[in-house]
Amino acid sequence: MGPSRRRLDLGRLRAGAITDERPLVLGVAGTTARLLGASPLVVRVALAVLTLAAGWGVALYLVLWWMLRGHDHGAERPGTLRHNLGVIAATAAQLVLVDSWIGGVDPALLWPVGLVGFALALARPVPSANEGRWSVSVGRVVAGAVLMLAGLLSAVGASQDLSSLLDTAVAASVLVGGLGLVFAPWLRRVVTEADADRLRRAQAEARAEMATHLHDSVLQTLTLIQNRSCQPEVAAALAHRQERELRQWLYDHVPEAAVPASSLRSAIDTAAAEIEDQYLKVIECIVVGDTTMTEPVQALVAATREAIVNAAKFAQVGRVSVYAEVDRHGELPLTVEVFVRDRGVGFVLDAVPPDRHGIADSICARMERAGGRAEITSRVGSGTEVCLRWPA
Amino acid sequence: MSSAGSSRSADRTTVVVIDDHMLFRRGVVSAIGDLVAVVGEADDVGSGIAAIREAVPDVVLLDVHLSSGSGREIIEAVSVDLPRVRFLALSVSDAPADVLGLVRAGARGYVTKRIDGAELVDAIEQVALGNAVFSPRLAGFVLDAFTGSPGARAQGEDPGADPDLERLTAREREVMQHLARGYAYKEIAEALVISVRTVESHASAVLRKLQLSSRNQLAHWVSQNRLV
Repeated sequence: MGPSRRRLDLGRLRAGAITDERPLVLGVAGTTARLLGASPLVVRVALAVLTLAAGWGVALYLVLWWMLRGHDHGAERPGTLRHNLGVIAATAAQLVLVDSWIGGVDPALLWPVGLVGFALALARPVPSANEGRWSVSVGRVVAGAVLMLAGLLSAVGASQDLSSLLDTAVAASVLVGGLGLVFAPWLRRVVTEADADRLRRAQAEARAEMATHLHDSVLQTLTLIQNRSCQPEVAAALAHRQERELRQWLYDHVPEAAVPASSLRSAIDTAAAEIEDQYLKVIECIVVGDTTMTEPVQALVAATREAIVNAAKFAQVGRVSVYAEVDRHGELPLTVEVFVRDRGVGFVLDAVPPDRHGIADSICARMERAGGRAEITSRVGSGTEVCLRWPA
Repeated sequence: MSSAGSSRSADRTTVVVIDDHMLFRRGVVSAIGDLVAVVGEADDVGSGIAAIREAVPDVVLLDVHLSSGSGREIIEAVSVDLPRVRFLALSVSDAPADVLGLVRAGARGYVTKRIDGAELVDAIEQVALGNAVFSPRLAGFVLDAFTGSPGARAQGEDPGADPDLERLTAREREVMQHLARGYAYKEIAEALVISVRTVESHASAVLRKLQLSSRNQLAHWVSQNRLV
């Protein structure tokens, strides 16, 4: 490792991102070394020595792996000669280990098993340099296959010696262990990749949904506003409506029309929003307290709607204030008051032609039928306020 | 036009605008710049504190949410050294917790960003004079806070008054209700047949009660309020 490379790796270490060593098996030794501040080589040699001492190294390795499972053991990188040598060394160590445990392993097994291990190491998929994809080199697979064949043939050649159950079991376990060693990094990578992939897909979906929504709503509105830039009131109402929709989408994530109004608050908000859209006025709604939608409350909301529509239609101002308050005196009965106010042109109440049903029928009579009361105060030049009370 | 506390810029009220949206800041400055003196602008907590310390304005127009923190931090950082600097909160955020948090920290009022230029200038002048500024929305929040949460009451957990939360007087409540209905102080004075000065003192009293109420009570109310 050259000095420049070392510097780079120290940088990575300081950033705490990944280990400075390529993982050989699962990357546990590298991570341990990083945490201890030691060289990975020292850790690996120590593990190897412990492995030779009745297999403690393997046990320790597994324990460390379990303890460090939250750590990033570093990405696989191409260039696997060291890995291959490591696998062969580990395979040989396994043979020595099994021999030291139970003894009597036929040395004739060493060659075939070693060859098969080497074949596996050669043929295994390696991570390619770009995008963390895995590539399988044809040449390596062919070489691996040839070696594998040679190994198996020599194992069959040694079949007289393999006849004992013990030797067969040893050969099989060494092969399985070797397979594990070879494919562990790959399996780990596959699992991590799948997780990352799922996350990426979810993010992409969220982004797509956001883009669609913004396109359908915000961008359309902005275009509308640009086209009608000469009418500030229209632009203001459009912008306000968009703001409301966007806010709802961001925080509630439920389309406005999907929820039927179940309370006074939501019913008045919905009515105001609809009128705002229809008449392009700003309708400021303040609701204090809340109650469920009983029949009189429904009548009250209908009268409120009519009052807001009147203000939006006739007041000739851009803004209507709506204030609703539910007052509970301990338990029921409650009182509800709604005020709809504008600072518009106003009118003379007695001068309203009798054929205008809005005020007489839709507001006053409706409130009276429901057991409530409507009061309208209006002054020419300073605006109108409709006050609705229930009960009267 | 107000002459309160301003020894510079003729008799105009001096204002520092702190908002992390440059476009919005531009809009505000162009809307109020003819009637008040904008003496500083900032877009985050650090530069906001620096701008206030440098300019020592009459009023700070403060966004509730800044990208680097909350407007509250700015109030807490400068209000001890510069008690004469007054804060007016300005926000698109309708969450009562945020708004009341800023008022509790010492803001003299809250207006939404939908306010028009003339109304904003009026609000700034009011704050400069030491008065409270209640937008209809803030008045609504206050009425909700001081009458207890409707949800809790419906479930019988919180019948009637919260004993710890100082109650509004009948007059204060009336003033708040009129504010929520969209009345200006002058219109309230006419409607209640009292002087504008009296309306202002009622509003200031409500603001004080709001600032004295404990954080826990407000948090409790806010957590039970569906507006959060």
